[in-house]
Formats: sequence, C-alpha cells, structure tokens
Amino acid sequence: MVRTFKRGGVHPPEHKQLTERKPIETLPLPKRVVIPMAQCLGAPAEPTVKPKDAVKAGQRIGEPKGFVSTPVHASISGTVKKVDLYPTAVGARILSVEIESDGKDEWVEGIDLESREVDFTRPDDFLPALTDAGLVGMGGAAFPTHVKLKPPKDVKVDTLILNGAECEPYLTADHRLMLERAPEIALGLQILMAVLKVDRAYVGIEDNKPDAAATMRQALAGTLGVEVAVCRTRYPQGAEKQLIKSLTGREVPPGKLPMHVGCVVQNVGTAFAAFEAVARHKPLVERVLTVSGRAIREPKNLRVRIGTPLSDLVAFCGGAADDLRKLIFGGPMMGKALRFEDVPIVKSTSGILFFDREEAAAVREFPCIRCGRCVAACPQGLVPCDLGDQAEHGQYAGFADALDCVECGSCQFTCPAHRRLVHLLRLGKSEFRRLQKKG
Amino acid sequence: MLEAVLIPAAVLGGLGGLLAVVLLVAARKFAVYEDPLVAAVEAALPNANCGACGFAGCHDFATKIVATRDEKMFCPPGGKDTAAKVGSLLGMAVEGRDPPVAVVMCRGSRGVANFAGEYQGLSDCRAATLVDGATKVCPYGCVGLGSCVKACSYDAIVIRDGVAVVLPERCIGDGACVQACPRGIIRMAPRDVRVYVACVSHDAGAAVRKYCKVGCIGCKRCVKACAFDAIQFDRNLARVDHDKCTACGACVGTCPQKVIEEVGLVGEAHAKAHPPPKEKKPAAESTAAAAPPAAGA
Repeated sequence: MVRTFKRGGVHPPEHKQLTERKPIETLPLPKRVVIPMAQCLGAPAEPTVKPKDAVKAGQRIGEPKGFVSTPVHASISGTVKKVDLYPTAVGARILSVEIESDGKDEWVEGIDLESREVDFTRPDDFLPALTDAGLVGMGGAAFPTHVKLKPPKDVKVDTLILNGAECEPYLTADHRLMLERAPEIALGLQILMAVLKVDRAYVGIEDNKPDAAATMRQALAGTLGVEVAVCRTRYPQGAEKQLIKSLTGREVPPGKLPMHVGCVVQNVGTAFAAFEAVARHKPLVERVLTVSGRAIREPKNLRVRIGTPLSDLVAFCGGAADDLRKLIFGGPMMGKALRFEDVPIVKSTSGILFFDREEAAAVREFPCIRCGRCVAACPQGLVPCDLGDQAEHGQYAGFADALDCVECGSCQFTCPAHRRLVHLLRLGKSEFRRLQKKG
Repeated sequence: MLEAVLIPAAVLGGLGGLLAVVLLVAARKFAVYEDPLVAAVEAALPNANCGACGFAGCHDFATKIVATRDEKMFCPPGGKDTAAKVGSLLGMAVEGRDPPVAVVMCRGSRGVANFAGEYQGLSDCRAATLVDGATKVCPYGCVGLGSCVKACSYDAIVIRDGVAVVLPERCIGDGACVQACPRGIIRMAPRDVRVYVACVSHDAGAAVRKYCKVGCIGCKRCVKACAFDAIQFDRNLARVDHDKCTACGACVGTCPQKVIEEVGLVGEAHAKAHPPPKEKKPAAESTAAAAPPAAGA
C-alpha cells in the first residue's frame, strides 16, 4: 500500500537521475577546515580552543550553552589557526574555528572507526553518547537530536519515524546512504527506539526509491515492530508533519510538535550518525551530501568532513561550469541561495546545487490572478495568496494563524504568476513575531 | 398634477423638519464638552498626523497637552514656530526646537562599497535581511532596497546608487524611516548640528577596508582632533555626541576614510547657530572642510 498525506503538496521534476546511481565517494582530507560554532537550531557553542592549539579529529572544540545546544568537534587533526567570524551558509558572520590539517588524520583516543558493536543491554548509556557526539537532525533543519529524544514527562511518545523520504528534488544523499549503509541505519534505528523506549517504528521512503525500500526491508527483517512504509512521491512528503500524517494518520495540531501526537521523526542520516556515536564513539564530524545541478561538471554523492571549504568539493567534482548562475545550500525547494563565497560545509548541509542559466532563470513576477492554486497546494491548509497580499501591504495581524507555515515552497512552485510567496510569508511571520514581542 | 409635487414635498419637508428637531435635541442632550483650547491647539499644529510626538495624531497631542500643560511635550515637525504658537495659546512657554532631521549613517554606494551576487528576493530591506541582506557585503550598511523610501510620506528620502539619501529640506523629522530601517542606520539628529560619522560598522579596520572604501576603520584620529571631547569611541567605531559637538569641523579633515560628514543647514544658518569657537581651531580647516559636502549636495 502506498501511503500519502491528503492535503496539498506538489510534484516538482525530480532531477535525481544526476546522482542516484553514483555510490558515495569520500572526499580527500581537506587541508583546512572552518568549523562554525552555530551548527544547530539553538544556542551556538562556546569555543574551547585558541589559536596554535593542537587538536585531533573528534576532539571537542565547542561547549554547548544550555539544553537546546550541541557540542562541536574538530573534524581533522592539526593546529588551530584562528577563532574568528567567518561567512557561512548559516549566516554571514558566524564565530568559527579554523583548523589547519597536519595531514595525519589522528583521532582522539577511544574512537574505534571499525567497531560495529552496540551493547543493547545498557540502553541508558545511549542518550549521553548521542548528546556528547553533537548530533543534530541531518535532514536540513539541524534541530539538536538529544532534545527530541528527551520529551517532557507529560508527553507520551509511542512511535519513532525514520525519515527516508528525501522529497527534495536533486538530493540523493539519503537514498545512497540507505542503499550502502542499511545495516548501520538499522542499528541506529534500534538505538533511537531504545532511547525513546518505544516498540513501534516506521521507515518512510518515497516510492521513487524502491531499491532503498527493499534494502532497508532486508536489513530490518526480523526486527519487531518496525515497518518499512512506502509513500507516494509527493513533495513535501519528508516534512515532519506530513510524514506523520502519511504513516500514522495522526495530525499535528497548529502550534504543536510531533511529540504531542506521540511521534518523533528522525532522518536516516541521523540514525546512521547515532550508530556511529554509540558503537564507535565517533562524534558528528562528517556527513553525506549530494553535489548536483547542471552547472557542476561531475555531480556526486560525497562523504565530507564538517568544515570542508566549498572549493574543495567543487574541485573534486570537476569544477563548476562557466554558466553557473546560482548556488544553493540544501534542496531547490527549501534550500538557501548564497553568494559565491568559499563557505564551509556544516552539519545541516544535505546538498549543494549548482544551477546554470536555465535552471536558475529568474522569472518575472505578475500580480496574483486569484486562481487559488497555492491554496490547493499548501500542505498546511493556509491561504498563501491572501497572506502574501497582507505581507506586501504591511498588514501582519493575519499571520497569527500562519505560523504553521513550514516554508516548503509548494505555493510558490505552483503559482502561475510566479509570486515570491515564500519570501512574503517568511517576512510576514517574522514581522508578526517582532511586533508581538514589542507588544 | 400639482398634488404630485406638493404631497411628496410636504411629506419629505415635514420629515426633514422632524428629524432636524430630533438631531438638535440629541446634539444638545448628548453633547460631549471639549475644551475649546483643544481645537485651537490642534489648529496650530501641522495636522500631518505623523505620530512623531509619540501620540496618536495631532488631536491626541492637543488633548494631552491641554490636559497636562506639560511644557516638555513637543511636536518635532512643527519646530519652534509651532511650539511658540501652542505656548501662546496655553499661556506658557513650550520647549521648542527646530525639527530634527533624519541622517543615514552609511555612504556605501555602488563603486565605493563592495557588492556580491545578484539578489532576486523581495524588494524590501527587512525581507532581505532575513536572507542575509541582499548583495552588499557589509553586514552593517544600507541594504538599499528602499523600505525607508516607502515609509516616508514626504518623498524626503531616496535611494541613490544603492544607498539611502535624505533630502533635508523635505524632511519633517517624523522618524518614519527610522522605524522602517531593519539595520538601524537612520538616526534623527538635531538640524543645527551637522557633523556625524556616516558609518555604523563595528568591524575592525582591516575587515572594513576589504568591503568598503568609506567605512570607519577605527583609527581614532578624529577623537584626537576633537577639542570638545565630543567623539565617543566604541568597538572600532567613532560616534559624534551631539550635545558636545560644536560643529567646528576639526575632525572632518582628519578622517582618512572621509566618513565624517556635515549635513543639514549650510552657509549662513550654520554660522548663526554656531559662532566660530574661541579655541585655536584653525579657521582655514573649518571652511575647507565645509566645502566638500556643499559640492556633494
């Protein structure tokens, strides 16, 4: 049975054929890395190293500040060169640590890169291990994983959902990871289930990846309570609330979180990182991402150390084409377009897209023709055209009900007048919050 | 035939008269007394309802000032004249100043500040700052998409070469642009004090030089040049304290980045407001410094 959510959604051209058959390659060790302290959706970490300090790979270089914050680790061994503000994909000026490699790639003691042992008799050790490893959601939002795994006492969680939907066009990193590392992801899933003390889990995979679904089924055969569920290829299938609706039929009420309907959603990449954190004591210092788009000569799936400069990836992928027009961190629907700067890869970078003139064509915007396609496309049941109008005219009161907007971009994708609805809604939401704070 | 005209006329006329009586009675019976002074004060105000005084329009301001007789209440766009009129109506001295003028603390136009990339988002400064601020590299300076222009009801601010420029003769000082600017680079300044540092970058000098030719690099030369201790220095940025500044212009010539500028009134008006200081500030420098902004304006 193919499952899906009922309301809204679109089906943009997938463009996954560029990379979906290419095995994950490991990028050669970078000569230098720039590791931002703000890599999670929470308080930035506080740097604990200073220039000229020698660090090893996996060493903690940033202490978390508060509960909703994660530690940051060195991704290579070498010497700290500078602690300064750097341009990054998460912000134009973020406090970061620059490390120059010594080329040896020495790891901190206690990290066993080959281990596959998970001691399921001591599940209480899992959560501290995940917290120390600096795990964040690898799907793109980078919410600290340990916060999701520790719901408040009055909230009862009964289901874990592993998100392998990968509904963003172009991106294939999760797809390849599921094909190549299914046993590890399966162990990671069991670790997360043990932490949450749940006996039911789903792995949601869109039906354009039947091979990944089959591999995951094989890896999870015999694991009680886990179902590999195939979902329709429909954007935003991989959005938390939509995936919960598709798999469990439960609807997250406005202003509430998935845990309020008993669900916790984690990306398959996060499950893999959880496995590495518990079995190998390896912190989150590398990730798999997709480099794609028509303006990069050889699109690839890469395993990259956190903090690797973008230029290293470009060089490894054969260089950028001459008609490169747009650089996007993340997917084309929700990702962020950046200036052409040599920014580092961060924990939340699920893909980097290089668009040529045609892919990045800036279309002319026309006035709204009141066709209502955006209303039909909105998975959250909002009326984007009206909200856009209000934001355009500086009226933000109506955004009290629009804070549920996940900025998935379905409305803008479907708009025949090419209105910049996502930007308008984002402006509206931010202004509403600002004015509310002002009182 | 005549009836067809007379009857409706009589009915409507009678009805009109009756309703007039009802209205008259209602107007007398339910009349709310308002101090005639309020109406007089309101008439003396500019009646632009701009909100610069902090009240909900001119009527609200008039009501409050008549009720409280607070001599500190001030209508910025009205300036000294309005204050004098209101004062004479109320029979007291109302504190009056010239209307303040908006100044944009950035000169990073195309050609002097670095721009990178191509911005395709909404043409709105606040929206642009949500996605790392359009295309100007400087993270402090004018975004240049004209949110202030939209906010101004008097066409007193324009975007020139990617940076906002105030037209002082049109500015009434209501501060609408100050509210509209997401980066807080527009400030209200007294019209008669003319020297200010046209930069808000707190970056270190080396970093500023990389992205802007007219950014404050924090060299402190102006601080040393000032005889009145009127230049404050905070995190790599100089700022003029308008209470102490005498607009002598000594600092203007010393700035290697040409960030310190003079605005507002020029020529005689300025000379009247600020007689030359008695200290031995070289007079030649003062006049030489006054020349460039005049040429620029």
